[in-house]
Amino acid sequence: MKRRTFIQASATLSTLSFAAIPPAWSSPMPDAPRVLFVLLRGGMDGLTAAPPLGDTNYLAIRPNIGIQRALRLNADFGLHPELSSLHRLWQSQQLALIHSTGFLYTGRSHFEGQDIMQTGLSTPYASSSGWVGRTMEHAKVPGGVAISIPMPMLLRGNQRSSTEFPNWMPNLRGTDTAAVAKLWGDDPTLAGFASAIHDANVGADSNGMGRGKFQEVRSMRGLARVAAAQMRDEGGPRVGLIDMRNGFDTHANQGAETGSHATQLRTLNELVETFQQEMQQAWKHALVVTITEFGRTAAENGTTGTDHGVGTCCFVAGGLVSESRVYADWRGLEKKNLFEERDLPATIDIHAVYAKVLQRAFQIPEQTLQSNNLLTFRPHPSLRSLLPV
Amino acid sequence: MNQPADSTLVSKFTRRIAFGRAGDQALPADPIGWAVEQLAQDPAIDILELDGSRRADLPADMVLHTDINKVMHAFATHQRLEKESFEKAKTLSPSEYEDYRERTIGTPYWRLEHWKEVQARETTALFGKAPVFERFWHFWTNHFMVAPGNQNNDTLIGPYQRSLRPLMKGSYRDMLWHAVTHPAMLVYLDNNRNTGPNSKAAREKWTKDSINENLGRELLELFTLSPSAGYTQKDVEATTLILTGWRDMKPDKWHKGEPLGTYFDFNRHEPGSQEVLGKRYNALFKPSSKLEDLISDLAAHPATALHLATKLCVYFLDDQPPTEAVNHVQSVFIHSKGHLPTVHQAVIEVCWAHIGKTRKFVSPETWLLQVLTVCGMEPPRTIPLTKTTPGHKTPYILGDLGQELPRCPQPNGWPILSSDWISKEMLDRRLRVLSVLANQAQRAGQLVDLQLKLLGAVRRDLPAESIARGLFESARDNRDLRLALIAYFASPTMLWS
Repeated sequence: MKRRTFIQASATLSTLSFAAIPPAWSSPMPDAPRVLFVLLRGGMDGLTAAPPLGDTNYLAIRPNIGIQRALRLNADFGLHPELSSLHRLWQSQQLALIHSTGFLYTGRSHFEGQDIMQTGLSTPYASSSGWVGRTMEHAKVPGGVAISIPMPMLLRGNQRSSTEFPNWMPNLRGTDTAAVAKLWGDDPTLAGFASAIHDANVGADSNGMGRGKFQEVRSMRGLARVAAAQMRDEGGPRVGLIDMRNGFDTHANQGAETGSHATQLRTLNELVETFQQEMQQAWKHALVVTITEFGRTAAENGTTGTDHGVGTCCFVAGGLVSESRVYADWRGLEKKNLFEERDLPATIDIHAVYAKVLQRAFQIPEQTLQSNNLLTFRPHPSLRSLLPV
Repeated sequence: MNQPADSTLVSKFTRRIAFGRAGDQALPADPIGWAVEQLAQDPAIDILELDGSRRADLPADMVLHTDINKVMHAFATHQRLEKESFEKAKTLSPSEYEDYRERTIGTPYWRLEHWKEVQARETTALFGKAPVFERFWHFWTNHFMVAPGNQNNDTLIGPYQRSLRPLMKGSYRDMLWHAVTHPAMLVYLDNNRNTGPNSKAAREKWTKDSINENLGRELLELFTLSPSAGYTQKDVEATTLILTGWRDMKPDKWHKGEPLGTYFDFNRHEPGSQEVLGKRYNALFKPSSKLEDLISDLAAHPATALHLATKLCVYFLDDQPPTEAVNHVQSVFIHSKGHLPTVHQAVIEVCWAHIGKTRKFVSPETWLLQVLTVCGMEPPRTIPLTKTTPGHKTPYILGDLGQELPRCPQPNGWPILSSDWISKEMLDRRLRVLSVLANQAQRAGQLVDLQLKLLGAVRRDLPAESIARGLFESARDNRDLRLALIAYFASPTMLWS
């Protein structure tokens, strides 16, 4: 979708006309921050993605799946060798790693966890909006885009976010989209979608296919390209989302430097690398933030994998990161220091990290997030220098 | 339940509890009787023609296996071919290797295997004798989800899902037992490697495998109690220990002549007793009975009845089903001891009783089946014999709509909430699929026939003064089939079953 049509789509969702007059708050802001959220579903193993090299227990409790050839960050931590692009960002002061972090929820369920990671609440199935969507609504952020067929919960809660996914099917005609606008006019759920569908079909080339091969366009690299093509545009969406829908749930044979978890990380690496390249100049004011529902058991399990756990790591990368640094309140991997003697504990509330991201991206003070119930969190002193405003 | 049989409501009911009725077909005079009668049937499943006969132009070796021996042979063959292909990678050039993988793995196991099962599922729903039965079967395959995973389980999925059909005539306990101990589930949720730390195999170091909680957790969370019942991590761990040793048996190089399919491996089972929800499970003479007892207790637990009643009512009635409907189904579940035909009948009854005040935005699969049913059309016939076979294929059309069967991303199944199936992209794709169908019908010379069926459906379902009716009439005047399809199927009346 082109910039102009996107503004229309996002601005006229609650009206029936195809009016092209954007409201005042959506005036272009070339330097406004852009945030790409990447959902890593299945529970990313933080101890594989960012191994704690300095922890003497690490290889002892992970004899088969411990990472021995990590890319060094500092004396204590490294990155999985597949995360070479993230390592380059580290070297150019553009990567923050938050470790031993997670939600206050400790139920270890994928589905409850994936609900909570998006609603931002402490109990599952308690909201139909996401912490990003709600905050966008509050801060009047003009538009977000999920590179996804369904609308992920994370961006629900405002009328200005839409979905976009490469698609081979021929466009509808103007008569079709006009009919749809009439049909849905009185339906409060559907009415808002008519103009966006009009723009996606009758506007310019909008299905994101370009000239690429279908498989390539739908790869994570391809989706990163679709996201960046919109987000780098001056009036484009300020929030993007890419959903890695499965693959991180590595109960068995998760591998180490290579193997199934490594493959997932390679894909994540490609995604970040492509997004950075494609954002071009706009990378300077961009952030990429990873979100996963939980971490995994500290020790490997009986099937050279890891089971559902609690704490994990989070990556915040991009031009808006001012210094490369590891943020952690590390208690060590000795059994007695683990959560319930098995999981990496969440010593930093991940919501406190997300609050920093929202504050930096949308110029909305952390206190406002708390007081408006957009996102509640326990501040952590070690995060003080993360994404200063 | 003494509602007047308003034809719009009957039509809505047929969409809700089945896939609707063709535009030129009469509505059932006795909706509940019509639906309940279908539950008693034992419908065969196959790849069908419009007239309900088995499709004749399929490759000779394309068979829907039911015999567990054949199923386990296919599974073992697939796994062996995967291993061999890694060896081949060392000797073949990249392009030769790609061709080799395509021929030995891609075509038979990724494309044809899933195509035949999806095609059977959809054509049986459309042209079989009992669409209501099929709709409930779709519910159960979603509840006990097994999807392609990381152990080359592709050939297990279809046979497993079809094996649930006869169990819809029995108790929930028996279906639960069957699903949890089926090799497809044991492989999908990694239980085939779940090994007791004090088992003989672990003590004597025959294996490095130990416990794996994947199935144990889902047994409590998805299949029975649900987390709101308040079980603990200790319960998950004890359930996992009770499940140790339950694995698949296939004819690979370690096979020593045991029966193929489900296998209880005592050497991998954790000895002793375990405690779940305050009850101790032990077995002095028959260690496998620990799981039998646990499954019986979980199936009979009141939290399971509530979980299933809620899920059934959300699936068939509304995202927020009426409390009295849930209560009724729950109480029928408890009093019938989970007798599924009785529970299904209760769902049908509450669905009819509340049909006017409830609404569902159905999944893409159900929606496509509604469209094809009303139009009397069949899903795309193309068999993807190679990677580049031209033409539309059913699983990929479903994928374009946001639900590529059987590739459900997670073990909790496809979403059952209306709100999860509504987004700009999902709505846009439904509209575009209608244009694709219109083009297909036009090319096949079915324009007149389709217009006629559509006209019947429009007169039956859309109020005379409605916007949709007006749009349809003008599309008809202009012989614009695409617009006519949109006017009917994109009307809120039809999008909300």
